[in-house]
Amino acid sequence: MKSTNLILRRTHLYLGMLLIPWLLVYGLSTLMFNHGDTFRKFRPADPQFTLLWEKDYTLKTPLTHDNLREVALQLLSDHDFEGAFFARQQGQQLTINVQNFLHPTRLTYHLHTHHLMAEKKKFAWVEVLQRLHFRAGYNGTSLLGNAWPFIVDVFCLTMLIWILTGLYLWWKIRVSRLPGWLTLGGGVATIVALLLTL
Amino acid sequence: MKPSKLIRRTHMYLALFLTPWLIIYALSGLVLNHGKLFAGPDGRLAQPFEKMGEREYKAAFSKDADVRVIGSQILEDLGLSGTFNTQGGPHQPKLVINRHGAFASHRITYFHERGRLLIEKQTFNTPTFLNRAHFRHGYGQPYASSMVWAAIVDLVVVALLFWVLSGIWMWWEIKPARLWGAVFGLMGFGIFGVLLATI
Repeated sequence: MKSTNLILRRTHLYLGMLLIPWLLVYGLSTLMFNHGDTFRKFRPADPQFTLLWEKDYTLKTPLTHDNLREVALQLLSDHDFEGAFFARQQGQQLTINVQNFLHPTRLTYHLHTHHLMAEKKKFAWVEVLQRLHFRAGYNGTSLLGNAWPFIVDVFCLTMLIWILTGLYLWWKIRVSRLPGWLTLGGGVATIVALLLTL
Repeated sequence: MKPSKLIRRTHMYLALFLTPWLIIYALSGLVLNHGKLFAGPDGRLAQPFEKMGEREYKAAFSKDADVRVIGSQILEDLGLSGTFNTQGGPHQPKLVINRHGAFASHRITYFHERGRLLIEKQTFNTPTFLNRAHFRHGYGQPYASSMVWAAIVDLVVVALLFWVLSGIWMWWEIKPARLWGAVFGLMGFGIFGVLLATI
């Protein structure tokens, strides 16, 4: 019995120690979302992108209606860009956004003129936190790219483990049972009232 | 009460009060991370809107009336007051009002030249409910329940930061856990640092 108690205590603690950076990221970024107007002024001034380089470039494979991803991947590979990306075609312009927490890059290719331009997003911590918060889903093509969503899964499951182990640890403190019930009941009553009236 | 006990009890009671929100954020996080798993046959997570009805709505708004004023009045007349956003301008042929309830969303389309309203409703499904609760934030909507929700989002932020600080305090107080706690802490920062710098 004592060892179960100890295992749950240590699990609660060590998972917390492991996930401190993510607790800080989700906490601080949520504060920014909840007070958008206050934090908007910490974003960089326009223009949002600065030029890295520009050049003439010819696509190795002509762009058709169903090969956008392959063409974008080839273009990125030719210029040593790696990682998750989002590509879209608007008329004669192909835009590829390469995801990166610190330095996202935007590539703009003009199909008519064969002109390719690479730009870097200006740096701002508030936007780094936003990108860290928003990144989810197993879309990465690399092991590292899939490591982040794996940790998101670990974080979500850990939150559930913290709740279960936390409830157990609360129950073990007899003098806290009544105030604990009142607090837990207060939380449940508050969320039910809010969900019914939102 | 000694500081150590005060910190421990605050850590615990804060978590007990916020348990429902933590469950929502944990489950919605899993839904967002595995969108394809929860999507319908059409590849979309949200249910399609179904027509509830269409009715006459004869009203006149002044030329300078804001879309928020128009949207708010229409929702009030339909008995659907609450948080919403709008698409379209006051002088365009149609104004779409998206009413975001916790359990169901309504979409009201106002055709002001024809004086008609189209009322549609999105039926409940659990993943959409979780996501809607996950994304709900901010003090921009002038409704009491929305303001309280935003205040609780702030409380969640305070709690997350407090749990980190109080957790570190409690870890340091448990001498046998210092070594392994430090190992896990450093491991977390190491993994985070590598991912931050590389992806």
